[in-house]
Amino acid sequence: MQRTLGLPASFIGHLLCSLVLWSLQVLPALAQDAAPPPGVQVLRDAELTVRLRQSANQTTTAHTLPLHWDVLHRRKAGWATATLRFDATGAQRLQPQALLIPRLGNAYRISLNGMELATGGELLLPNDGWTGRRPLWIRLPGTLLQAHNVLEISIRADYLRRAGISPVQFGPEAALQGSWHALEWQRVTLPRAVSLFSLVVGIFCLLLWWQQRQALYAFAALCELAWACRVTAAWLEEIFLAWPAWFQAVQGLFWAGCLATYWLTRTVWGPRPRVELYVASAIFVLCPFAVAGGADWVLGWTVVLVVAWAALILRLAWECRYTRDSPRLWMLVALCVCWAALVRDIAAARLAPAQYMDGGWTQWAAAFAGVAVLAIVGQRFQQARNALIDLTASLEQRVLQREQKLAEQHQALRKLERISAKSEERARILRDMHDGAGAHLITAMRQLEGGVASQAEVMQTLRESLDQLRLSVDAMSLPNGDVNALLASLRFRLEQRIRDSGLELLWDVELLPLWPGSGEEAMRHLQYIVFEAISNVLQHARARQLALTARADGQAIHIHLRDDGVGRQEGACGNGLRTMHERAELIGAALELRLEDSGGTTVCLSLPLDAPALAAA
Amino acid sequence: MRRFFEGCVTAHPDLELAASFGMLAPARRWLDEHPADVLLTDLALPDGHGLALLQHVVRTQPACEVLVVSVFGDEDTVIACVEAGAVGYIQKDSTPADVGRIIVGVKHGESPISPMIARKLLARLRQRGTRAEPQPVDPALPSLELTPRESDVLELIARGYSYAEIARLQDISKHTVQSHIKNLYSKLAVHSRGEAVFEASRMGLLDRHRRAP
Repeated sequence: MQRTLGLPASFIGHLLCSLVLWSLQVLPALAQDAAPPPGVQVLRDAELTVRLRQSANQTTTAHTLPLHWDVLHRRKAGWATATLRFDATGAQRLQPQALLIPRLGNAYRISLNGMELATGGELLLPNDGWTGRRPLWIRLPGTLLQAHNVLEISIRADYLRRAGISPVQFGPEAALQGSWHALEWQRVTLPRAVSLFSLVVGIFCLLLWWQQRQALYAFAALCELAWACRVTAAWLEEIFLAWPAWFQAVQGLFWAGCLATYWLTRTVWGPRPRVELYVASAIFVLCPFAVAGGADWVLGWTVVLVVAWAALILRLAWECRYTRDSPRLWMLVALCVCWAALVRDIAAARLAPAQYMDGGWTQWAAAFAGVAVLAIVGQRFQQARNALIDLTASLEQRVLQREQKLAEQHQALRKLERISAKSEERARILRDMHDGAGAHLITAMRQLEGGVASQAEVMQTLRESLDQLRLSVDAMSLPNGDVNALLASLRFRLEQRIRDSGLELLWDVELLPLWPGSGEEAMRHLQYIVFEAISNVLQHARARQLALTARADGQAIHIHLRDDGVGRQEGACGNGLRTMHERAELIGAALELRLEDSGGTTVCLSLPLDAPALAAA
Repeated sequence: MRRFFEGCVTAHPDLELAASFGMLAPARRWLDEHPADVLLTDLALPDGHGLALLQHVVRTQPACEVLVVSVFGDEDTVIACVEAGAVGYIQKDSTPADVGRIIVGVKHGESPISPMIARKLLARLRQRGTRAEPQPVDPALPSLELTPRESDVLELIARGYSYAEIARLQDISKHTVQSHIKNLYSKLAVHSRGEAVFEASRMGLLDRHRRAP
C-alpha cells in the first residue's frame, strides 16, 4: 500500500534531473534539426569580427552560427559583425526572396552587398533596449541580389542579455513564410497568451481574496501576477526603464514570484517547521542586496535559491508520499515543473551555445502553474462552500431542535395555565357558593331550627339563596367589561323581589363603553356590590322609589343608586357595607355613600375607564 | 315538581289541565293523538331530553305554544330552546300565580325574553353582519334580519329596560313591544331550526338524549 501510493524523494530528484537533461539535449535538437523547407538555404558559416568594450582591438574568426554572446564572451559587452556569403541563381533573382532571422540582439544593422536592409535599436548605446526578440522577416527584391552576395549583420552585445545572432534562413518568400508564421506563433502569440492567462488567473484570485479575505487567495493572486509580469518581460521589446533598473525590476518580479509561491505552498500545506521559515526568510531578505550587487551576485544567489527550492520540493514530496490531498499534489507537481523549467533555462542561457534560439521554458511552466493555482483555488473554494453548507445544515438542525423544545415548553406552560385557570375558577365558584347560596341556606336552617321565624321569612331567605345561585350562573356567561349586561341581568333576576316589595324602580341606563381590564372576578365583585346595594334598599330603607342611573364620561362609568328611604341606620348593614368597600377596592372602583338632605341614600360607584389606573389598583 | 305545576294550572280559572306525564315517551304518544294549546316541559326527563319533545311538538302541532321549565333560566339553555321553537320559559321557583299569569300571557301573544338572551341575539346578529362568507344554511329559510324598530327594542331589552319603559321610550304601545318580541322569536325559531340541532349538540343535550333513550 505504502509503496504504491508513496513517491520516494530519490525518485522525485531523479525525475527532476532527467527532465532538465532531456530538455537541454533532446527537445531543442529536435526543433533545430528539422529539415528546412525545399529551396531554403540556412546560412551558418560566418566570418565573425568582434570588438569588446573598453578595447580597441578587433578579432576576426570563422564562426558557425548561432552566436551566443554570453557563452562565448562571459561577463563582457561589445560589438560583433557576422559576414555571411551566399550565391543566388538567376531564377532566384527573378522572384521575391526573403531572409528570416529567428533571433537577434541586442541592437542590429543588416546590409546586403553594402546596401542597408534593416536596423533596430541603438547600436552605439550599450544597455539600451533589446530589439530583435521577435523573428525578423526581411523581404529581398530580386534586383538586390547578385550571383555572389555578402550579408553583413552587426550587433550590439550587452552583458547577460542573451545577445547573439541565430542562423539565417534565405529562400523564396513563399517557402519561408510557413517557418516565419510558426516562429511568430511560438515566440510571440503563445507567450502573450500565457501572459494573459496568468493575468486573468491572478485577477480572479485577487477578486476571490477581496470577497473572502483568505490568505490562500492573496498568495495565489500575487504568485500569478508576478508570473504574468515575468513572462511579459520575456517577450516585451519596448522596455521602459534604463539598464540596470530594468534588470533589477525583472529580477525583483522573479523574486516576488518566488516569495509568493513559497507562501502559497505554506498555506496549502499548513503548519511548516520553523527552521524552514528562517532559511526562506534569509534567502528572500538578502536577495535585494544580491540584486544591488550586480549580475554575478544575482546569479550566485539564484543558484542558492534553486538549491533551496530543490531541498524544499524533496521534503514536501517526502511529506506527502502517502497523501491523496489533491491541492498538495497539484502544488507539488507545479513546483517540480517550474523548478525544472527555471533550472533548464538558466543552464541554457549560460552554458549551451546551441540553445540561443530557444525562447525558454519558464513561460510554459508559468502556464502550467496557472492551471495548478486554478485547481487549488477551485478546490479550496469548494471546500469552503461545503463547510458553509454543512454549517447551515447543522444550524437549521439546531434551530429545529430549539423550536421543538420551545414548543414543548410552551405546551407544558399552557397545561399549567389551564390547570391554574381551572383551580382559580373552582375557587371562585366555591367562594360564591359559600358566601352566597350556602350562607343563605344555613340562615334558612337556623330560622327553621329556632322556630321563631315565619314561613315568609324562611321563604325569603331561600329565594335569596336561589337568586345568589342565579347570579353566579349569570356571572359565568357575562362578557368581560360589559356593565350593561351585568346591570340588565341583575334587574331581571331581582325584578320579582322588587315588584313584590312594592318598590318603584326607575331605570336609566345609557349605552356604556366596555369597562377595560376587567376579568371574570372583577365582574363578579361588581355584581355583588350592586346586588348588595339593591338588597339593602329592599330590606332596610323602607323606600318607595329606587332610581338606578348609569352614565359614562371620558374617565369613568358612574353608577348611582338613589332611594327615598329612611337613610342608612347605624350598624344595620355594617357587615355588608364593609364587604362592598372591600370589593370596590379590589376592582379599583370608587364607592361612596351619600345621605341626601331630602332623605334617602345615594350609592355612587365609579369604574375607571383608563386601564393603567385599574392595573395599579 | 309536576304536582306543583299541575296545581298552578288547575288553580287558575282560565286554564284547564289536559294531561300530565312524568316521562317523555307517553307524553309524545298522547300529543300525537290530542291537540293542546300550551305544552309545559322540563328539559331533564327520565327517558330523554325535553328538547326532543319540544321539536316533536313544534313539528306536529304548530299551534301549540311550548314553555320550558328551568331552574336557572341560563342563557345557553334558553337560547337553544327558543331556537328549537319554544316561546319562553318558566322558572321552577315561580309562584303559582306567576305560573298561571305567564301561561295565559303567552296565549295572548306575550313572549318573555331576558336581557341576557336579547344581548346574545344582538351579538349573534352583529356577528352575522361582519361575517365575510354567508352561512351554509338552507337557502329556502328566511334570513335572520330585523327591522330597525325590532333592533332598537332588542337593544333596550339588553340594557335591562322593561316592556313598559320601552313602550314609553319608543312612543309605542306595550302591546306593540310584545308583538315585536314575538316576531323576533318566531324569526329566530324558523331560522334556527337547522342550527338548533347544532346548538343542542354543542351543549351536549343530544348526546345525553342518545345515551338515555
